[in-house]
Amino acid sequence: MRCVVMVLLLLAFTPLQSAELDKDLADFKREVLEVNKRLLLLEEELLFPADTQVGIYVSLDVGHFFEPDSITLEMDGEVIASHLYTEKEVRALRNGAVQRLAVANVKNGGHELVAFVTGDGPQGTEIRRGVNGQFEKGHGRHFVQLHIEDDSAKQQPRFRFRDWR
Amino acid sequence: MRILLFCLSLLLASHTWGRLDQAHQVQEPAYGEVAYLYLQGEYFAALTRAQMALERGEVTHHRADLQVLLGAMYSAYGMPEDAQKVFSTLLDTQVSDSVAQRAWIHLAGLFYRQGKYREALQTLDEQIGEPPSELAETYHSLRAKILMRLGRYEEAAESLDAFAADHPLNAYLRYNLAISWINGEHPSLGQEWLWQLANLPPGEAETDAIKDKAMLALAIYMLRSEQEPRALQLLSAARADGPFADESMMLYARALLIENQPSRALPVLRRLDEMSIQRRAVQEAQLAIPILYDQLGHQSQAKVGFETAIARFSSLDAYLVDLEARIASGEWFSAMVGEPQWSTAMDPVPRFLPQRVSSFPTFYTWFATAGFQQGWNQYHELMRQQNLLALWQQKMPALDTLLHAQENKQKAMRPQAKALLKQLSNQNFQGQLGRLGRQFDEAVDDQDPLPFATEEERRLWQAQQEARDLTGGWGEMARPDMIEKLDFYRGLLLWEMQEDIVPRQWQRERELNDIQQLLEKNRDLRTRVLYAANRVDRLEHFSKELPELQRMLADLQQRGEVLMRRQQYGLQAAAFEQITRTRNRLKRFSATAHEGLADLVYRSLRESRPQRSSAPVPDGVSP
Repeated sequence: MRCVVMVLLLLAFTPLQSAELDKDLADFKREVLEVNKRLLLLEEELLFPADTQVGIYVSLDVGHFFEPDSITLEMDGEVIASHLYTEKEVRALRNGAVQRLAVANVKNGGHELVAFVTGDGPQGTEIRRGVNGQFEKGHGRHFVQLHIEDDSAKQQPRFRFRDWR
Repeated sequence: MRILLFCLSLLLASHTWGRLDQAHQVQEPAYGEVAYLYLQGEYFAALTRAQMALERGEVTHHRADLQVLLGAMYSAYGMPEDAQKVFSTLLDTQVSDSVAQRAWIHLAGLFYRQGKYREALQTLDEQIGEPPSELAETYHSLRAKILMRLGRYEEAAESLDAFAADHPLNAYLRYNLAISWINGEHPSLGQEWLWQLANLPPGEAETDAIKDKAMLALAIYMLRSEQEPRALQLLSAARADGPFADESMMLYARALLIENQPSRALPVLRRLDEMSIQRRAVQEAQLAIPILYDQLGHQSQAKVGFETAIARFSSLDAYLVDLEARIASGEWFSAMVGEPQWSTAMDPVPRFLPQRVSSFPTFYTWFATAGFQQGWNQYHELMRQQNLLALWQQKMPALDTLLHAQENKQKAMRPQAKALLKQLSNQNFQGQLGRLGRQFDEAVDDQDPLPFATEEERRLWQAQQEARDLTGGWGEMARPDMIEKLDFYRGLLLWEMQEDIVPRQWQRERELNDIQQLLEKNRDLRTRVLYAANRVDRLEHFSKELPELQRMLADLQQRGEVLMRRQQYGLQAAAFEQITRTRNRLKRFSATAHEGLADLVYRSLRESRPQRSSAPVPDGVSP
């Protein structure tokens, strides 16, 4: 009997209800997005207040001579992030997107960053490189970019940290 | 056709950002971050990040670009109303031509998805005209799709010619157009296009599948247009392991039968018969085999064939009845969904894994439809969002504790900070420094050495001044040589002080500059203390917001559950429909098999009656 009722219910699912479901789903997604945004903003402000926040980003321009495989990032001698790249992530970086590698709290003043990068270079050669950089944390949020770019003259990748204001 | 269009829309969505191997300068991290998520197909995470960036005002240079991206993501994420709103608002403002063109193309795409084909074409023709090179592929593929929907095939073909022939989109669109040609006014042109597609060099699974599909369509067309020998030639080369293998084999067997070659058709059908009976082609083969044996005069094998067919149809029907019950109870759906593993709430929806479903052969054609894929993805999207909401619910106590800890810290520190700020304002360090600066300038202008004198020199100067005052009081009693001596010492002291006055002034100037720098640092610290002291307002706002968010989470979780159930019922209803259709077909096939068997027995009886005395009964057929 239960099955028959269930079957009748199932058969009552018409295309009209499907359109209504699509609309309800869109409304639901909108509200989930809103709540997720508000909670993320709140969480970020509680965990990483703007005055102490530093964000470290990775960009790849254009990536003919380098395909990243992994990155380990140290700040003031402590490892703060490690990342292994997927094919999709590398493709996104090559298309000009930027990855937020780490976000941390630091005091105002000078700080040192060291990144250990591995990946494939020209003709599939393995590249391992250490990159050093300093930044001066001041008032407000601070962004630092690990920029990987092609050095056409040397046919090699070039790595450097730079402030991103 | 529908699944191809679905694939097309996915491919198009990935082409909205840019192209490989082109330097692309992102000037704001928030925009780059949104793009990073978007290009990986993580629309939910990208949408959230884009909304955060807009709310916090993190994007100024790329604001218009971000809005185009936001609209494209809304559209791809099944939120067409939001997408239209974003594009309309953006296009009402002053934006660059490049941004406007991208927005118009996305808007036309949105109209296309909503079935507003004329509106979509009008948007493309009136607002874009000649597209820029980086948008040409998106533009022409969209235009070709719209024109096909409007039945304007010649123009659609012209649009397809405008972009690279080796592009995967091109193959899909050419296939669709070729089918339209064949069913319309230019069958020979359609045949030519299908032939080109069928002869594409083998490559990835996607290319091979479209080759197979083109070959199948071509063979059907040839059979319809009485080109059986060519159809046979084509089908004999079809792959026996591709996604369309069973259909190709069935078609091959039919072509052989049309060509009156039953002995060649039989092994093909037998090979097909080895596959799962849940497939339609196998069911047909199951019925065709005994009929063919009968035609070839192998009555005993025909009888066995009919009996096997009846038994297999009956067993499949029993399985389908059981499957219906499992669908109705929700057991089938639960088994199909399994337990998707997400490492974080922001991960994309997992891929559909048909291997997990024992009833896969029953539904494999339905699983490949856009309707199923859309419903399946929506269900998983809901599941992911429920997962996300549950994670936030778990985090809420921690957020609450963190908020209270920060509030308490603020309450304790705020009076101290305010007192410090008040003390600093009372000191008026900047005013004092200003005065010192003015004094320095005056001393430099007057070349007065005293302000730059050392402590010792000041003491000597003071003593000498006092001695002069004292001797001045003695009047004529003072010895003249004493006054001369004092004047001499005064002159000597002045000479010593003025001898290195420039280094002394530099030294003082440096000290003043150092003080200025210290004051600037002090000012920066004051700003931070002021900011921290006033952060309590923001924390108060959060403490009011947190319970509200908690209520919203609970409400959304309830709504999510209802929506998941509705989506599940939708998919179950569609599965039930598939089963009903299959069962009806099985009834027909079973009836035909029974009829065939009865006819066989009847014929053997009729044959045996007059020859009862002379002829033997055929093997296996009992009277």
